Amino acid sequence: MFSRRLDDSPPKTLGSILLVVSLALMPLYASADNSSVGATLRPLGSNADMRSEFANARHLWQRGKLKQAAKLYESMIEHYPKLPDPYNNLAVIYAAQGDYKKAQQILERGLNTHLGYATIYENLTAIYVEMARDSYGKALQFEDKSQHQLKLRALAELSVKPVLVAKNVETRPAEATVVTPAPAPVPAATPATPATPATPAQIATAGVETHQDILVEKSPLLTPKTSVQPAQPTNVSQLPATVDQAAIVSVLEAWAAAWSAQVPERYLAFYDPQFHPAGQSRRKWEALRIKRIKHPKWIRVALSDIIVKPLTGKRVRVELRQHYQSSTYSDNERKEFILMQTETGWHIVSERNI
Amino acid sequence: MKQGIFKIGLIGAAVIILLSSWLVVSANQDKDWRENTNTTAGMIHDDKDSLIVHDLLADMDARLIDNPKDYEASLLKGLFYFRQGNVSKAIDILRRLTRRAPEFHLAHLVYGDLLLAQVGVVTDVGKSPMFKELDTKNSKQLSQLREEAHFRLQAYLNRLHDTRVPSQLLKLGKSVDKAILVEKSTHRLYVYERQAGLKPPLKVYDYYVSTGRKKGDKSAQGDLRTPEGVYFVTSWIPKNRLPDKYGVGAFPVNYPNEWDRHLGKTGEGIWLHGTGSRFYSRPPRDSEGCVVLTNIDLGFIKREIKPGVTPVIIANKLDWVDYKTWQQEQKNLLGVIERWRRDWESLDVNRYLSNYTKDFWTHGYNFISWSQRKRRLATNKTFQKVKISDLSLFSYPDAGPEGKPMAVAQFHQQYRSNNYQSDTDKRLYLIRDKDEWRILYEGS
Repeated sequence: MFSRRLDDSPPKTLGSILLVVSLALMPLYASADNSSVGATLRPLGSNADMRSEFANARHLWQRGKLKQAAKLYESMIEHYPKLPDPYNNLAVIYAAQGDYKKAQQILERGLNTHLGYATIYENLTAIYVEMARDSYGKALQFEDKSQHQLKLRALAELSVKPVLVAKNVETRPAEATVVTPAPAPVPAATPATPATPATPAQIATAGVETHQDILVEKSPLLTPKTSVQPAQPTNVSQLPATVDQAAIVSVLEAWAAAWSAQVPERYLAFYDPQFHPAGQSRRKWEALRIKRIKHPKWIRVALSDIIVKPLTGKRVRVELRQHYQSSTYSDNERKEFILMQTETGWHIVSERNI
Repeated sequence: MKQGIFKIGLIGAAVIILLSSWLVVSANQDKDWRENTNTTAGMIHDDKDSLIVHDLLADMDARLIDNPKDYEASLLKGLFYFRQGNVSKAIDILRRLTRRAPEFHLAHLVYGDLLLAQVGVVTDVGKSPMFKELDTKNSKQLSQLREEAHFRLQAYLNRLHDTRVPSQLLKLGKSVDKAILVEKSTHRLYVYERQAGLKPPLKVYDYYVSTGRKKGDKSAQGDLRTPEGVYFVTSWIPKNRLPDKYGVGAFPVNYPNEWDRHLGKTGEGIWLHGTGSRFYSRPPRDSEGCVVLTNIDLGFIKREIKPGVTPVIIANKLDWVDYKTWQQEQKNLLGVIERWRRDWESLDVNRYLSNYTKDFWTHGYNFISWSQRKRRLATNKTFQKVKISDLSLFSYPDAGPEGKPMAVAQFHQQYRSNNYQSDTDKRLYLIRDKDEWRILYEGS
């Protein structure tokens, strides 16, 4: 009776999009009203501040000019490949025409515009699967309850780069500057911050793309909601001339990434020869670190609330919150680092819990 | 964005495919109803399909108002919402159902399916590429639950908008308010209520039931089959006199009946009973021959059953006929009974005996010895008056020997004559041979 196989794609991707029959009968412009026919796809829109291209596409759509609207979305995708909204609406158009395969592909691309979306989707999937497992267990009276530990994926770093908005200039305490991890320099907004030569740390994070081209737009619709704390370009001048806090944050991010990747050599390379672990020899400490880094099945280290304070002698003090998760243990500590700039970049000379 | 991504119709369950294919079939079956829907659909959306689902949902709501513990209605309601594309509503209904009826294993399974359908493919009840191991480790339980889902849904959908009546119930006597029908092939039990005059009885309830582990008609002790025939409830055994697995109680029926015994069938203890406390319901083919209801449903039919009176007709397939056919069959059999009564009163023994088949039997008699006895008695009769009241007529499920249709008549008989009188409850088994109904068995 249930013999019809619907789709063979692996479930973890959005592979299995199956729209109910009612979708095909849904008026193309279903907007937010999904009360009548159980709308399953919903176009985004109706925001006063919407980018005009987006609005134009929507108007075309509303007037029934689907092809032109689709074209406009396609061109938006070309120009702003990191903006998820056009993917969504383009997919709605395809789905409404019954081309679910195409809609599925476009939605998958939309998910991939942002590491966060895909991870959220994956985690939500995992939750649903786990809930289903639990329910199946009750249906079939499994005995092995709670054997399964739900493993959700944490994001190690913010994949959306914060915007440094120049116009929000206020005077702040001189030495403490709060930044979010890995701020990318935005030339237009931060003229005071010169683009520093690439440090090893910057190379380490170079793979992460920025969203500046989109995020300078102030449309609430188009700007992903991240609680970005604006950094103070005016404060930069009060740091020692060579100190680039973004570079320092990048170093620590790379350090956390090496730890997460469970590559002890890369992790240990961040420590300066001057670094002396408390209460034990450097060799003993390194051996212990190697063991601890390699042992768990997986590790995720994320950093937040990073505060960089410049010190004298090419040194900075960094306070941050370290979120550690592994297959066996998780915690969340506040730490203080002292980093020193050497010829080969910034290195950790001191690390302690505070 | 949230809406856009997560509400995309990640809908996979083939449950819905089943529903949609059914809906087409059903719409074709019932012409009047379809035309009705067409007109209304044209006005709204030309969306027949969503209207049908809307109808089904309204039907489930009505059932739930009647009986808030109609868990099957909640289950189906969830499936119908799912069919409509309202996944979150469907999930919500199933989530609440699994809390209210934690022993309803099928509900847990379907809840799991709905959750998974949001993010992946569900190809069958409890079947998804994400849970391949389920099918290997729990294949027996799963297939049982799938069957239960199938029977619950299919039985409901099949009868929906079907105005036909079961020919098994041709007439219910004045003392018989309710009759129970069990259809083994669809695992459904029906409660019918007598209507005034000669109108067909009306269906008042129907429930999912489990029957014997083996298919086919019961013939011997321990064959794990549920018998097919016209039976009567004989008594009520309350919970406190039974092991837990029988649930809230049991209604034994008179298997083997006169015909069964005549055929040499053996076995005993065929009951309608409830479900053990660890379960809400049992798989479709699960019992040793009994008809098993949920405790809630048994509680409902308990109010309708009168031991010694209530008929229980068990068939593999009930014979659903339209009103005209039903009326014709009723008329035929009423005529047969009336002819027998008048022929008896006529004092013409040959005329009277022509109502009996050569295969006739009763306690201690066959046709020949019966004829001899009747002829002997007739010599002293100067008048005979026979009054029949409280007449019930049942056409026997499945045909008798050589495919000859059979029927059972049950009535109160008042006999008056010059030298003898009696008041008895009588049961006749009739068989139709070459378009003539004749009496196969007579007993009281």
